Amino acid sequence: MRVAVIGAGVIGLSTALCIHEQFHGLVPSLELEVYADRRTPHTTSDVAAGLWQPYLSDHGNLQETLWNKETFDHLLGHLGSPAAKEMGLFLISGYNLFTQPVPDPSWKNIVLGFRNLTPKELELFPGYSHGWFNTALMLECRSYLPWLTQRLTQKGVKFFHKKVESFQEVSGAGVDVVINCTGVRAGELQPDPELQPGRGQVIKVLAPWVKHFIITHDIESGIYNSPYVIPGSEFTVLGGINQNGNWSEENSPQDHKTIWENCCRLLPALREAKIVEEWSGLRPVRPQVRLERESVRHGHCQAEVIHNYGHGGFGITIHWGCAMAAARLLGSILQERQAAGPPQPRL
Amino acid sequence: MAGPKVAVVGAGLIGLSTALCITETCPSCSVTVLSDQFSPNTTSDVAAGILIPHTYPDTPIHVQKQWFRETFSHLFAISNSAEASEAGIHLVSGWQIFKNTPKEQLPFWLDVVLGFRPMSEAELQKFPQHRFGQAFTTLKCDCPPYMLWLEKRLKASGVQICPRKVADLWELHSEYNIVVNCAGIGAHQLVGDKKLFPVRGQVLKVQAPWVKNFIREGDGLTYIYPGIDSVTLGGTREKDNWSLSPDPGTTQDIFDRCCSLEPSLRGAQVVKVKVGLRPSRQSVRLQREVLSQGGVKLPVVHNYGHGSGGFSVHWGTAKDAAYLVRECIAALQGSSSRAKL
Repeated sequence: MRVAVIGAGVIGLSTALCIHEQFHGLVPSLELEVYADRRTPHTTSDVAAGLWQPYLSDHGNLQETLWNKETFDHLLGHLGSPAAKEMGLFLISGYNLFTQPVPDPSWKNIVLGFRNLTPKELELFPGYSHGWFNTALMLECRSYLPWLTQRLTQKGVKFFHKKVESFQEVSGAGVDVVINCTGVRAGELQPDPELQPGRGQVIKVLAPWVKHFIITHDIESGIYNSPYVIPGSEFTVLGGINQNGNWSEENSPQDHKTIWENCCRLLPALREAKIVEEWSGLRPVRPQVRLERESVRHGHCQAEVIHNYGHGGFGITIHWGCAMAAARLLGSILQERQAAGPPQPRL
Repeated sequence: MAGPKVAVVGAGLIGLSTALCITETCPSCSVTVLSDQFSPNTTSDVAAGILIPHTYPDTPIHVQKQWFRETFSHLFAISNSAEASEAGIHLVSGWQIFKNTPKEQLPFWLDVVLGFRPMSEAELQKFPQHRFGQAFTTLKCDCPPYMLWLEKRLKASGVQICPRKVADLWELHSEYNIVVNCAGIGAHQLVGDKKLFPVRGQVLKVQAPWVKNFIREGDGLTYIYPGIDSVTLGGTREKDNWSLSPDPGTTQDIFDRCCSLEPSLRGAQVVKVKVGLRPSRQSVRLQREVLSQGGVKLPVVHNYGHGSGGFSVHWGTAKDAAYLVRECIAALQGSSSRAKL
């Protein structure tokens, strides 16, 4: 049974690992492969700061909230393990700031110590009248993706550094199930008008005195279009750009100015911070995550595809829950195959 | 009297902040800081500089609270300004945890720090051996940056900072009108204060930039304080131990205790081991005294004995010391005008 994962961002690699963990003992003939034209540190996941935090509202999408919780709990369980440092996993506390009252988020009981900000705390952030404080997790993909890659390599998973042009390319070559984790470019394999790039740009600086994340929100401009500051293990990430429909992966000087000025207004001491890197990335935005099976026909060929893409700006936040769900879908495919008996010759 | 000459003995946190407060409270003074040790070799440089007060048994609580409140307020403003990184002052959140629920669950300073509340069950799960905890956000003054920043502000105010070992406060009587004694643990020798005793603390400075929250055990023996360039792991509280040499067995013990609270520290590299002698006393000695010999008087203001609470109350005590200096000046001016009659 050959399973090919397309995509080596956080979704592709974690789905591959999850599948291996779930099935390698049960399906002796399982051969797992990962195909990707881009690998860490050049994936969309690498641009993200790595903060676990869903959007403000789940829009009634309880499934996504459950996947978020599953991911948080899974990561929390790894915190005390020796692997945590290598994974780029650690606890972090911080602030979400608003200019008006907002309802509590779906994730308030998932994170630790969620509470409203006190008036004195709000003095730190002139212009913001409400806010939250909580402790969450950081999962830095600069570390996590190499860690996942190493685990997978150790388990004998093969990596192919190439661009897959169609599902048939792999299914025609004998792959039984394709796991589509192609993120923002999923449309190249199969058109999906619901999938759009949400272009982001970030400036990485040296500001080791910053110990909290600070995410501001402007209900009008939309998520991540308002300044944010997220301290990592090495650099502090400054951001606040989310441009729907913009496919450019070039850094924009205008966006640089926007990020820099807004973040320095939020934290004046940032003016002393040394700028180290600047990156742009395309969030794979979709009204909801596409996580489902599909039998894709091409002539006489049929490919079993499991789609797992469209995680927008919360891929790291939701990744493990989705990986488990994708593995469950693979499980049902395996069960069907078993029930159906040996494969019929293809005409 | 034109420009009283004030000598501040001691260039630790207390000496520097007191000198600064004096320049602000008594602008006509000329202030000189005299010390045999300067940053990064003072007791203050060993401390993590976290603002969590120590309780002095013989100082009224309302006074301690006022000192802490003033210090917190003063540093809060700096941490929020463009100078924060140069001054080494930053906010840090974390947890104070207890193996057994303490008798006093609400400390006197709970409304001075930010967001103080008991830890939730979920938060306590991170510390399986601990039954109770408090979560809050406070400030940290990293040294040497904070000390260097104070020195910079002093020099900008025209304060002279001079290396000098003062063996006896009286030796200053001919050059200075008022002496401010901020000698810390040095006061044991300098003024023979037998109520002052060292509480030896050993700490490790480690590289663990992924640690963003502080963790402190309620008894103050084990703590993890993330700073700008390193994380301070501590510690010890050895009463009457005068040794300034790091002890390797203690280093291992501190490291192990901290790793049991924060397992990820196992991967951290120890960069430095330091020892400081907390200048401990039942109460901070913050008072005036007049030394006299042969009809000559020397007003002295004492400001020492801050023990483990130096950073937490330094600005409040520095301000009070500056007011006492002002009183000394008024007294001198009063007596000199009487002398003119």
